Amino acid sequence: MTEAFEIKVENDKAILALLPILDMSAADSLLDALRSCVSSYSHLVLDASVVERISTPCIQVLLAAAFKVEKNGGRFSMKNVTPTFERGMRDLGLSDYLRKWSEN
Amino acid sequence: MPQDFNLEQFKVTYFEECHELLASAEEQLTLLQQELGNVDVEVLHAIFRCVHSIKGGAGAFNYTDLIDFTHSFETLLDKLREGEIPISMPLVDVLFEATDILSSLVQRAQDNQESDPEVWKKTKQKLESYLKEGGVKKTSPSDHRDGIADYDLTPEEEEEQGWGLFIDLEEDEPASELPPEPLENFKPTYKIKFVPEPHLLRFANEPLLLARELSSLGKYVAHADLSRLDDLDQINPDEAYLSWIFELETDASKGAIEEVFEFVVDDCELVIEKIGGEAVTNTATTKEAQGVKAQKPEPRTARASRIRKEVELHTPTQPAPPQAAQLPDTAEDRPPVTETLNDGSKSLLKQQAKISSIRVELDRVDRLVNMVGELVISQAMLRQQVENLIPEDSHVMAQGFEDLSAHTRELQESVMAIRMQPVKSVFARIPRMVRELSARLGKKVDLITQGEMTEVDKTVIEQLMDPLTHMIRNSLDHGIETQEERAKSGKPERAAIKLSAEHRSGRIQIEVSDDGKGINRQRIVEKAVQKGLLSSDHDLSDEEIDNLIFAPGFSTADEVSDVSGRGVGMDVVRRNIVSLGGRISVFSTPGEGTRFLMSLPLTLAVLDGMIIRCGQEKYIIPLTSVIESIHPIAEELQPLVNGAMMVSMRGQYIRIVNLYKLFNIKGAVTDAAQGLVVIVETERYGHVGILVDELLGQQQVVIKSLEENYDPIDGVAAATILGNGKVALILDVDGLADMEHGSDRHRTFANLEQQVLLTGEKAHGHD
Repeated sequence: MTEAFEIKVENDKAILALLPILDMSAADSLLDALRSCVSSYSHLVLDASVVERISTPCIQVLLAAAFKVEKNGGRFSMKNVTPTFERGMRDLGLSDYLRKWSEN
Repeated sequence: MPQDFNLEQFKVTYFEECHELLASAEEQLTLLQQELGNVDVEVLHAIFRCVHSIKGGAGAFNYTDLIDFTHSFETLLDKLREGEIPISMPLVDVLFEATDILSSLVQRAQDNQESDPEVWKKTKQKLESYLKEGGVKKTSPSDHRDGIADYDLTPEEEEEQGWGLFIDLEEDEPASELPPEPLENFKPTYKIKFVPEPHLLRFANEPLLLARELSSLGKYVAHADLSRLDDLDQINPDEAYLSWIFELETDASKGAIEEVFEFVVDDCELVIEKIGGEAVTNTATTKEAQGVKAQKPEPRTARASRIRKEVELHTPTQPAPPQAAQLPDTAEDRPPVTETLNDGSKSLLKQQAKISSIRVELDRVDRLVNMVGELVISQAMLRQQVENLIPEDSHVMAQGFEDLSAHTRELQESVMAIRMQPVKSVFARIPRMVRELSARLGKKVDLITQGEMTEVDKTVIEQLMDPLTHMIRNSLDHGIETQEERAKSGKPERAAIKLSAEHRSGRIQIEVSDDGKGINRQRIVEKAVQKGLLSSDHDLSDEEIDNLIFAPGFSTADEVSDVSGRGVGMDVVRRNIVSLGGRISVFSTPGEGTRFLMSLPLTLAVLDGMIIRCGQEKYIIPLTSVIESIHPIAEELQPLVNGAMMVSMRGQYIRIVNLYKLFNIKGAVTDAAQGLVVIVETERYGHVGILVDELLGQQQVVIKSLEENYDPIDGVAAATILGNGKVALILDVDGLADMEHGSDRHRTFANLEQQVLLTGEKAHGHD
């Protein structure tokens, strides 16, 4: 079982700290964490400072969450992106999204 | 005129190609015969191309008989492929006959001998009689000149016939469509559409890893398509929603790109297209693909079912990368010109072969193999010398040696791969033999072949034909019963002979089995007693009796037939196999059939070996045979009454082979409890343990044939040169087990003749 994602709330925004290993087994709990954040907060910040490995299942979940937040008129942003995360997004042709989230 | 040149160098190539073309034609004819009711026009195309190519070269070298004969042959083939003449069994027989004649004409031309017109003209008349019956004018559309009178080629025509490239794979393809020389530094760009099936991720497939592997092939850009992505509330993390278009600028082959997707090809839609790149048009292939489409489809492979055919898009400049959001639309707006591999696979394969292969003399490859062998030895020597340096220096060198070793191994494997060929070239000749012999013997036999794409070293392939032919003949003649006998024993009317090849533990295993009557053991024993090879009060087991068929000069055939049974049969087969470093065993069940199992090394050049010490001697045990090594304790050792020793290992009793005794080695450990027992796997005796003093390590060794350089020695497969420059012997574990078993028998029966028979080895001395 993957360890739980930590969610902090600061000034009406939820800060979700991503886990170091975002492989397929982490995708379910990431989805749960994101669903609960998105349902309660309009501004969601993901802290990717410790991410060492990412996977397609987790990236899909992140994308779905980002679209949902934007659809609801909220803000989806990302901070402390590690080179690993960045490279993963680039290899999958998703750099534009990452750039946008980082600028949010 | 071509005679102005020195033609000899081209003739060599021409004849090489002729032999390949003839083999291919024969293979296709066998296919034609098998599918007589449902003929694939592509098979006829292929035979036509073979004959036409032979004719082309014959014209260039002015082999008039060949031209004359091939002209009639190809005209008939042309009419067959056009559907103007119906295909029948007698006609296929004539085509086979014509291939034979063609083969002998080629051989005679190669040997600079005059051919006997009586022989080939008779077959030519047969071919022409079909043409007349079909009401066809004796003209070939590919060559409107009749016969040889006008065979004076223009330079352009000579070029078209090919100088050194007589195989015209694309018969109708104009020369101008040949791929031009690629531009310097130009790398083709591939567009790879990858749409995973939803379940792809569940099988632990990770698109990110595929993407990274792709990116390692060249300059790479990915465009993701998110249109299938579900809402956060509905999304299921283990389903794949994203799809991609990758653009890859690489000089890697399309095959290399396909390889990246090798494990997911059944779980995705994959389209690989070349953008720009070499001007390889697909006109010819499309035409051929349609031809194939109209006929029976090619057998589908799971992989091929999804991969689309590579087609060039005639775009002068590279298109701008499509925007992610527009991807689905883009794909619909500009549907790529693709065909499935199934439809055009033959054409595609041909096209690839045309671009990606060169012809190299075997001698050159052999030199390369030899040099790599020497390199391996030099490396081992260097390594040994470094060990004598002071530790600091030796440490510095270690990393370098690791790299050198890895590169040498890779080099060696690459070089060996050049020599590897599928056993198909041997298997392809068997169906015809079975057909002819079964007809002659009045037996109905189906030949089932399996694993014909199994690859093995060319030297091994060359040596395989004779033993295989012999075994198949034996099965047909002696193994398979007559129709009446089969009916009486309630067996199906058609007998089956199975020929299969597979890779097993670093060797190739070839099996020939039949569902005939099995070995008549009573007859074997009678014959052996009659020949004085066996006393009438023998106590041989069934397996031992079966193995008597490998004894020299042993034949049970009552009458010598022209099919088999001249009395020089299976011992020669065995000798051939053994000289290749192989083994052969026979398994027979009376009334049910016989199975011959041949195990041969994949290559005759190098092997991975375990160096062991016995006394002061070093030996190599092939690593593929080694299972494990154990230090037995005294309680685990069990002597038998005949003096043999067994070791108990996890409830299993394993026979110990006393190397020191068999090779009379002084100063070696003689008590298994004090030494080390290397458990090896043998063909005939299962697991046996070889008693050695110690293991010295693993090393890749270069095989030096004992047969060629010295003489065969029982229990020794070959020799090698170690790092210190000394010769070490490579052990033949089966041979050792045989010797141990034989020495046993020797003790029991004190009958040398019988021992020789039992061990199946040659009688006294060498031949």
